[in-house]
Amino acid sequence: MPAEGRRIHVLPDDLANQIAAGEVVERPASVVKELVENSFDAGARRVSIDIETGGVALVRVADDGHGMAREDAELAVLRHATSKIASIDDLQRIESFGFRGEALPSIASVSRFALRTRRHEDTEGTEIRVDGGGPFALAPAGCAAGTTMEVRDLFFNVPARRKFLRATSTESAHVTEVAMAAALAQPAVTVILSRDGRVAREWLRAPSREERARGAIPDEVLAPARGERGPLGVEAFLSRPERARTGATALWIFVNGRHVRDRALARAIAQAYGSVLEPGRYPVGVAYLDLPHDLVDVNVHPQKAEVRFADGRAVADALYKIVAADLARAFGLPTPGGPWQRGKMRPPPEDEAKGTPWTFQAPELPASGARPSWHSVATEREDATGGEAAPAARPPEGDLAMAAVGAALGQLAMREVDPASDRPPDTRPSILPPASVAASRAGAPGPPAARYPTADEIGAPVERRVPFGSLRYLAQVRSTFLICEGPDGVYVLDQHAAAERVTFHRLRRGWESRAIARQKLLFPVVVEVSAPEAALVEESREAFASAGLDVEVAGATSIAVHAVPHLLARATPERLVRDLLGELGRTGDRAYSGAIDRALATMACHGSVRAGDPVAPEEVAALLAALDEVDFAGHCPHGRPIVMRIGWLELDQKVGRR
Amino acid sequence: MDLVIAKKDLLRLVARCQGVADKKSAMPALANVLLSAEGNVLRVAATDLYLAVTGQATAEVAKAGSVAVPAKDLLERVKMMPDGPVQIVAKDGAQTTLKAVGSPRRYTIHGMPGTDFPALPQPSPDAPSLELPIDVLSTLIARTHFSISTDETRAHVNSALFEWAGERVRMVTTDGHRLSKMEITVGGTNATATMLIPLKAVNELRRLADESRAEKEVPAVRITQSGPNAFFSIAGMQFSVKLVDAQFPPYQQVIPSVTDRSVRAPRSAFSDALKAVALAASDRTGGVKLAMTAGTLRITSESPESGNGFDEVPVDYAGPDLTIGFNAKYFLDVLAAIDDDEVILGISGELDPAVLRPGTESAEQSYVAVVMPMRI
Ligand SMILES: Nc1ncnc2c1ncn2[C@@H]1O[C@H](COP(=O)(O)OP(=O)(O)OP(=O)(O)O)[C@@H](O)[C@H]1O
Ligand SMILES: [Mg+2]
Repeated sequence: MPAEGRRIHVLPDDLANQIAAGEVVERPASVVKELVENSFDAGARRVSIDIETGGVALVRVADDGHGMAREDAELAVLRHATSKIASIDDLQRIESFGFRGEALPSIASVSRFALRTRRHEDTEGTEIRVDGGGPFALAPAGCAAGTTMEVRDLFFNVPARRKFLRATSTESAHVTEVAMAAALAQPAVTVILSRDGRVAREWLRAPSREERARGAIPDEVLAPARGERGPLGVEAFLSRPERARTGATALWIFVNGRHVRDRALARAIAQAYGSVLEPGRYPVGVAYLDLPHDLVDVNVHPQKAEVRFADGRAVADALYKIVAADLARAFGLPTPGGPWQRGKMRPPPEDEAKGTPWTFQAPELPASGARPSWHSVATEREDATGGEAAPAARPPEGDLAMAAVGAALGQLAMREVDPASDRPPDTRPSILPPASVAASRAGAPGPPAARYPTADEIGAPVERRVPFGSLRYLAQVRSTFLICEGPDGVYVLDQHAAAERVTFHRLRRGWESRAIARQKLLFPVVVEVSAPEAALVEESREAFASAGLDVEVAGATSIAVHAVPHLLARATPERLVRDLLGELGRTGDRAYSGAIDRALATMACHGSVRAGDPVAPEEVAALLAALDEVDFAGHCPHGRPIVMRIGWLELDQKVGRR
Repeated sequence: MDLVIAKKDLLRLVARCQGVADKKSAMPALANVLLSAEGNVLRVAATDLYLAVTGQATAEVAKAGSVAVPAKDLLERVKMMPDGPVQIVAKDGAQTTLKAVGSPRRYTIHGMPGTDFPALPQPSPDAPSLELPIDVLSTLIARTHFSISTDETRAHVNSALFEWAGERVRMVTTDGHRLSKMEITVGGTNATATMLIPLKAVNELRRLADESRAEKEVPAVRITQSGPNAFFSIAGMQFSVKLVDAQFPPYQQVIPSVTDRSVRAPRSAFSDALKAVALAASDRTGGVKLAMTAGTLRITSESPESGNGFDEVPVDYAGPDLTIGFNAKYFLDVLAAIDDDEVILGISGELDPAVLRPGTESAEQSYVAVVMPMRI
């Protein structure tokens, strides 16, 4: 009993554990993460994860690691009991996943917890049970070498937290994500994920990160990017730009083998694609960053989902440069130094030695607020060619014109940076070797020493240069492509991608100004959904309305749609509801605007002219004019290129006129 | 097969059939028209398996038989024939010769045996059939076809509901945002029928009806419902269609019987003003606002990028002020389909359906269009 007058007292252990659990254990997926990391720390070669009902009813993680002696097992469920660090010094260079000695007691305080473990050298194993914190029960047990942890009825004793758990499918999805991250982190370990008794995913032991990455993301063609800059080593496997997604959910980033969600790093990778990725879109893939342990602080986030670098900007910048160089080579992207210098991020040393003005390797990322647009191209072009008038007025050939275009594009090739969000990494090179300091200083703005483009390069996806509205529409071919003539060549547009891009732009603008025009329906459309989905609809009526859908819950498992976005009248209401539900369900309400963004993109896709649809010339004219309004990077919201230009020069060369 | 037929008759038959022949089909036979000679008639047919059209004309048949020839090729060649009789001869191998009688001009076309052509549906002899003046069919379609849903995945609204109850025939169409219903009394008849005619067939019927109306040929269309098909006979052409087997939405429920306010407007002035203002609507959505005040209907559009548009029309209205958003196109379609000088616009509230009716109603004809509002 506290003495009279004393207000501050030490919390009982159980309560302290529950409070800690509040930070460490948010949902079943966090339990999975902690347990699997313990297995990795125990040197497991094989880890099986079993979940039931999204992990709420049961999470079981079994490994073949070194197990624990009975005394250690007892300690393991005590707060701040860890075998992994012993002193402050150790904390400076943590190489294991665990270091706090907090995970097991936290988990045990909010679930019915059981642990069975046996070391290889012991004949008998140990079982420990803890029910919602409380005292533990210990018993000898026969079991395989290794450790099995079972967590049942998560949050059974903390109703407030249980309420925040989402639909089984959502929780399941989070677990899958954690398992995927774990598998990618440890290629040499076999990881098996089973849901309700059935194997859902299996990642077999792989000899290298590259093979694990390719095996884990089989649907994508991943290009490798590798390199070192100062203390930073990077190994990345990344998708083609047209496979990019809105939001960085499919971009897996690891720092010293630890999965992290780091916007600055994700953005550095996206920026390495240059202008072909629109702001907010990220490739699919995996990036491993390795650097000395004392340059990273891993103890900054309760779930270890973030790390802090001694110099974050330098890391992001180095990452950007390493990745950009290899991607440009792999995908033939216009490099930031000018669209024609493909695969030439850095000048060959001879050139430097000779003092040739090879000034244009990887320039600084653009300053916040830089907003490339068609207008800036026009200005650039005018400047570079002595204030000549409209692009259409100029003969399309000649080195000068090309150099000018190159210069303009050089300015443009970098993506717009959202001024409101984190600043882009700058080039202050604290991690970088001195040579690159000089190099980046030399990268002052100015026209690049553009070499003459080859025909092949001219055929690359077009940057925005001539207003689409000024193109002359010639024909539709294969009911899919629109052929147009421009002053500088023949343009081929993908009609669906272009229409989708325009629809997305308008929807998003409408959404931002809360003014998506909604068409009321004569007959409400009833859509069958699951009970949690119906609940989600109830919760997010606002979100639905902001996306232009008026919905009402019509029954335990059905909802009625009363209005749809006017722009998407082509799509069925059911489709649109499912698109939105899918995205909202996946995120919970955290990255809400991201979910809306993705949903709008999918909805735009379902509500736009498709390949195979006939289009009238007036529709094409409207589409072309509309494309000019769009903040356009030559790609549809899903990242597919919309337009490709075949320059006159290339045509001439192909038919042998030059 | 060996026959002689007047060029003009042949041309008319082939021209009508080739519209149905399906050039893009994976089944090459469907790009053909079937020619079959028997007794003293030549029959020409084409189908895309959903629609089929057959026509016949008198011919001097020397030898009966049948052959299928590419529709487009045949049409082009028949057009080039001099006026007068044309002889068609098909050999066993389906080699077909087209020859102008009394002129050296001739073509040979590679066809396929008539037996390779898909069998066309035939009405069973006891199938119920009704007759309708062609004008009536034409009007039914003209007033309603534009609100048929173009979404092929929703067959129940990608079609027109055709109903016959007693003396009253009716056509109703909807795309989920609007609906139109036309009813006409056909005196002296008494029939009961309900069918869902797919959009493609409605378009074809419309063409046939308009053509034969222009030629003032036959005043009536005979409609026969047999199994899953309906057969329409117009001016010597028989047109068959596989009906949609689905449930049309309960349209009666969504046609308001009364509305709180009603505006009487001059049709063409209203239409012109809508067209003018919709031009400036945002993102070409056609979204316009109608604001009614006593004596005036104001039409406005606002767009962040293309500015505003405004016009007003003097109307007959005395109620309180109300503003409501609509897709102008839905109104324009209706205004173009009716020919009265005035229209009556009935509205209850800004979230309620609007009703458009012609300014004059008769006992014989009744038309109503329902348009759902748009929140802009
Ligand atoms: N699967 C396992 N195999 C062997 N030993 C284990 C296993 N899981 C846990 N342990 C032991 O139990 C201890 C406590 O685990 P716990 O996860 O609570 O803390 P930690 O991993 O040291 O730190 P953190 O709280 O950062 O995860 C570990 O230090 C380890 O010695
Ligand atoms: Mg741990």
